[in-house]
Amino acid sequence: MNLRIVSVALAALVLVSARAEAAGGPVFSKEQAERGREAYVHSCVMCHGEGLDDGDFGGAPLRGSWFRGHWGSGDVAALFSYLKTAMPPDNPASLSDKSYSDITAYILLRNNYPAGDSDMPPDEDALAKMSLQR
Amino acid sequence: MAENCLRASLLCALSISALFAASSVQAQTATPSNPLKNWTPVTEDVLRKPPDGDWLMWRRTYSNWGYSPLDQITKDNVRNLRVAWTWSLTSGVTEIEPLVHDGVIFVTNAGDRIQALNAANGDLLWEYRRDISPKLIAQGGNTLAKRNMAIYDDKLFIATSDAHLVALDVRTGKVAFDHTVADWNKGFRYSSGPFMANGTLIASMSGCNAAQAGGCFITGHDPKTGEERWRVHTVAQTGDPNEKTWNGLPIEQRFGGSAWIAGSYDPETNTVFHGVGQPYPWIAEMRGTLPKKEGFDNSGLYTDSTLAIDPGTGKLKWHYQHLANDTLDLDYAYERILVDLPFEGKMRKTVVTAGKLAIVEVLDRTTGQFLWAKETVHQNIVSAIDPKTGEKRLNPDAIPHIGKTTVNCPADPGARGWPSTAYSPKTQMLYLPLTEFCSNTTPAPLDPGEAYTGGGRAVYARIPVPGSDGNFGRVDAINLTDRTQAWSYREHTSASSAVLPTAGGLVFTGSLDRMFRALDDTTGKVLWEMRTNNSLNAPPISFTAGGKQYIAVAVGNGSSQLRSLNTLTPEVKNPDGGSMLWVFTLP
Repeated sequence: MNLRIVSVALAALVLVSARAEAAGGPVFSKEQAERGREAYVHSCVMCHGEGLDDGDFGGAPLRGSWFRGHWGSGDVAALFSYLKTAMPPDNPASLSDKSYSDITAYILLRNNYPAGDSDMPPDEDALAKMSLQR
Repeated sequence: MAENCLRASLLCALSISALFAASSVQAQTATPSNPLKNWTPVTEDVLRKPPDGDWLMWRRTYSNWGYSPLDQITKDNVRNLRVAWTWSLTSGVTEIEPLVHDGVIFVTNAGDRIQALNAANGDLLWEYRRDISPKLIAQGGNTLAKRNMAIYDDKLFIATSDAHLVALDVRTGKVAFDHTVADWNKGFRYSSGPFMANGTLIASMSGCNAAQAGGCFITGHDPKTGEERWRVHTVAQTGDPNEKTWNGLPIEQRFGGSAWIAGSYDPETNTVFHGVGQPYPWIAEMRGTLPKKEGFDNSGLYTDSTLAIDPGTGKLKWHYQHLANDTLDLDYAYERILVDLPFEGKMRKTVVTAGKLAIVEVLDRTTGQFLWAKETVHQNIVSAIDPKTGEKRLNPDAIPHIGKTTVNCPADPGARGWPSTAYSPKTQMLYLPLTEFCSNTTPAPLDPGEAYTGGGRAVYARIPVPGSDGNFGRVDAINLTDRTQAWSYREHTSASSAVLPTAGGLVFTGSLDRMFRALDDTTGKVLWEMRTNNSLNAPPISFTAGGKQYIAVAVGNGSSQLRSLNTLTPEVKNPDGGSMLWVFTLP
C-alpha cells in the first residue's frame, strides 16, 4: 500500500512538474534548492531569516504575499538579475552566478513552486522564459 | 613556556608573529616562564580597584569607563607603535574584549572557543573548545559571537551560544561547572558574557527576537556552583506592577527585551545598572501596542530602559524607560557608565548611556531621575525632550505605519551600535563611535492567518543623511562636565569598534575599512594609524606584561552590525573571513 501511495505521489509530482515546465514555469531541482539553502544561510539568513520572512536586520520578506506582490507577476530572470546585482547589499555581486541561481531555486521552493528534475541555469535569457505567474 | 608551546605546537605555529618585526622575537625569548604559575586570585577587592596593568572585566572597571590608566604610550611616542605579536582566531563574528590578569590574556573565538595566552608573546597556555550543536554552528553570524567574559577568584566565566553559564579553571581551562540557564532551541542565546557584582555572577540573556513569550531576563548566580539565585525579567510579567504597560496584551504576546550587553556596578550603593533592548516585532501596530487602548499604558516596560538592580537579591530598585513604545528597533541595551558630574551647582552620582539614537542621556544613579540629554548625530525621530522628565516627543512623520514607507534617521543598526562608548577622567570626555545614516523603512505585516514566529518585520533600505558629504563614520568627544562637543573626527566608513581612551592622552578607534587609529584625546587629530587584515568590530584594550604597556584589539568581519553598515559603503571590500588578535607595543 505504501508503495502504491508513493508511486501515485511521484506520478503526481512528475505531472505537476511537467505541467509547470510546459507552461513556462520555473525549472529547478530539489538538489539545487538544497544547495541554495546552504548559500542562503551563509549570505542571506541574517537579514531575511530562516523562515524567509523573519529576519532581524531589515531584509524584505522572501515568501508570502510580499514576495507575490513584488515578484509573482514577472519572470525568474527579474528575480535572478536583482539578486545578482544587488545582493547581498553589503557586497553585491560577490557570489557566483551558479550560487545566485541556486538561491533563486531555494526561494521559489519555499514559495511552493514545484521542483523538477533539471537545475535552473544561471542564464538570464533562459530565465526570462520562466514565468512566476500562477 | 617551552613545555606549553611543545604541548600545543600546532596552535603555537598558528601565531604568525614571526612575520613581523624581529624585536617581537627577542621579546619572546626574554619572557620568563608560564605566567599562570604566578597567578593571584581575583578577589572582590581586586575587582573594585584593578591593577593599572590588568583588564579584569567588561569595560575594565565596575564603572564601565573603558579607560586605561596606563601612560607609557603617549601622544609623543605613539608614532613608534608597532606589532608585538598576533594570533589567528576562528573566522567569524569577532566582537570580543579580551581579559588580562598577571600577564595572561584570555580571548574568545567565534563558537565559544576560549584561549589563554601569554600576554607578552602570544604563547598558548591552554584552550577550551565547546561542543556546540551543528544546528547552532550552521546559523553562523551573530549566533556564535561573544563580547566579554568575567574573572573571579581562580575562575574564568563564559556565557555560551547554547545558553549555558560555564566556569573554567584559569590555570588549566578545565570546566569547573556548566549550568544550563535556558533552552537554545527556543532561540535563547548569550551574545555577551557574564559580569561580577559583589560576589554574584550576573548573566544577561539575549536572542529574544524569536517570539519567546514573556521576553528575556537577567539572572544572578552563585559563582562557585552556577546555581541561579534570582531572575529579573526585562518584560513585565503577569502580576508585575507594570504589567498594564503592554496595552492589554497577554504575556504570550509580549516579546523582546534582550539584555545583550553586560551591565555596570556601583559598590557604594550596591547597585547594578543594566540596559534592555527593544520590543518585538518592531512595528508597534503589528505588536499590538498601537493604537493605544482605553485604560492601558502602551509603553512596553521594561524595554529600552535602564534597570537598577540589587545584585544580592535581584530586587529592582528603580527603572527608567528611555524610549516608550519603540517602533523603530532603537535599542537602549548598551553600557551604563557611572561617573560623578556637576549638575545645577551640585555634584551628582550619575549613570550615562546612549541608545541607538546616539543621544547622550544622564540620570541620577541613586534615584533614576533624569538630569540632562545631548544630541550628537542627525536624527529625526525625537522632536523634543522634556527637560524635567526626559520624556521624548516623537516626530509623527518618522514613525512607521503599515502600508507606508517613512524616512527615519538613524537607520536600524543605530547611530551607535554595540561598540562601546568610553569615558576618560583625564579629559572628562565621553567618546562615542558613530555612524550618520537614515533609512526608508517599510513595515512587512504578517499574511492573514500567519502566526508571528520572530523577526523584526520591517524592511530597512539604508541611505545617507540629507546633505551628506559622503562621510558616514565619526568619533565624537563630548565633555560631560560642560556638555559641549570638544571635537568630532569624521571618516568615510563607520566607526565600528569600541573606543579606548588612555592616560597617555590617546583614544584608540577602529573602522569598517580596517583602519586602527590613535587620536589625540583633546583634539581628535590622528597621531598613528595602521591598516589591519579586516574590519574592526571589537573593543581595544590596554594592559601591561613584564612592565611594558600593550594595546590589543581583535579584528574580524561578519556581524550583523558590520554587514548592515557596509551596505552604506559597498565599494569597501573586506575579507569574508580572517579574524585575528593584534597586539601592539613600543620598540
